Amino acid sequence: MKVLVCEDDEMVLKMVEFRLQKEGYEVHLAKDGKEALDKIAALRPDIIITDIMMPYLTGLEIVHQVRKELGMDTPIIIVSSIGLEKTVLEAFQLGADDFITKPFSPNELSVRVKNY
Amino acid sequence: MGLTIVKKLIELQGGNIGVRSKLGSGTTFFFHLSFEIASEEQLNVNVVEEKDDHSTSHLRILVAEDNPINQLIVRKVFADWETPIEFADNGKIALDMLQNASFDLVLMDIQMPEMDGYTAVDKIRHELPEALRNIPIMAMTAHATQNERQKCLEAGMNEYISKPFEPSELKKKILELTNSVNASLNGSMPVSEKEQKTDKMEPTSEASDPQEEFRNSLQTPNLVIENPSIRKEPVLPEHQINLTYLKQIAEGNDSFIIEMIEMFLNKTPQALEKLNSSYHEKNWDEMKQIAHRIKPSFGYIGLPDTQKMLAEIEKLSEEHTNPERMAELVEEVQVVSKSVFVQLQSAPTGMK
Repeated sequence: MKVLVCEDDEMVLKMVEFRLQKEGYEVHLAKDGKEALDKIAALRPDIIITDIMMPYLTGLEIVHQVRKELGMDTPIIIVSSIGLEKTVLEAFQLGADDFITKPFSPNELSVRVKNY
Repeated sequence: MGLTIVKKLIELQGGNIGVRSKLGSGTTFFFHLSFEIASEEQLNVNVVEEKDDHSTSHLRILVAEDNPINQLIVRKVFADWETPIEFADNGKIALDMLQNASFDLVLMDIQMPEMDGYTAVDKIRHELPEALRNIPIMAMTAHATQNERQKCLEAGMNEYISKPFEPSELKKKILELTNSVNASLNGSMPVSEKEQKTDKMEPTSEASDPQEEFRNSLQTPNLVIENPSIRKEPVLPEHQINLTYLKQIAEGNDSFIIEMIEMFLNKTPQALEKLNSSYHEKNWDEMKQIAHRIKPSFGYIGLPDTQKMLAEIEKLSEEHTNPERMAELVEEVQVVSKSVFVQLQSAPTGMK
């Protein structure tokens, strides 16, 4: 299964990549919103995991793009250190499937990814 | 069995052995062996070897080898090096021994009864408890072909040596395998050894620019353990790093932890500098971004309080209020980070 992880914090990126690769996923990375969109279009991943605060486009904008502009129903999991209720609500309203706050438990991430 | 071995050894070296025995009186064994007289040069080479201060005596090595003659030779070589070893007669026994005692390296013969070297390596890499999986393994093989070498490496061995081996080459390879950071992180170095090594290094002066010093020290690839700037100052509890979170994710993979630490050390000093300079330039947007960016990494190394400080810096720079409090926080983060950098560079990250 192809997973795209969009995250500008290299350490988080590395952790998620490490953990998911261990579980057997084919992991692709994007360090900002622009790279994220490019890779979504090019790779057509099976699951998208994205942070909210990123250069160029935020994770929420990515959700919007994927659902409305690209019309894809790819499962999207948001991983963010912003845990505000309104952000979470907005994410789900835009069409995200899941929301995990950082710092996240790697087990939790793994279990949630498995759901999709 | 001893007699058979001695006979074989002597005959291998082109000699012969005999016995004279008289019932009730005694037995005399005798043998003839021919040797060349060594030249000065050859003698000196050996002397240089002995003076080699690269010692393996701190290592504990498991040798999986069933052939008694080879066992004898290996035993002698490691006895010369004053290096403790233990033998396993086949792969299965080797696996058992690995789980019951602590070893720094495995010397693995390929051809063994019951479970051969390839099978054993595979099981070590995939079936043993995670903390044991990365132990350095060197194959000993009678076939020195490129093919065999490839096969060994693909099977999961770290290195190979052909039989009969040249002792100095064996030693060199053992040192290479165990001097890598991974190996030292398996807890092989006794504490006294570590302290001896640091005594030999130059003491750190109170660096005028600690961030610069750490950035410079990042040139070295083997970051953890080898860095000399290990201050003996006690660490304040609120500055104490905690690698539990990283260890949980790593699940025994020490190189993952090292990479994370290296990433932290590569990025954080510069980020803190920028945080400072953007404060002085009153560039609140940039301050907010930087604080937001480096905030999580302090969480990963077990410093939630510092993480909270950065969160507060982030909030204050968004509101453009209370610059005095901001200055306080920025300074506090820098103070903690100084201690953190030192701790990380000497952090034992092994799982044992």
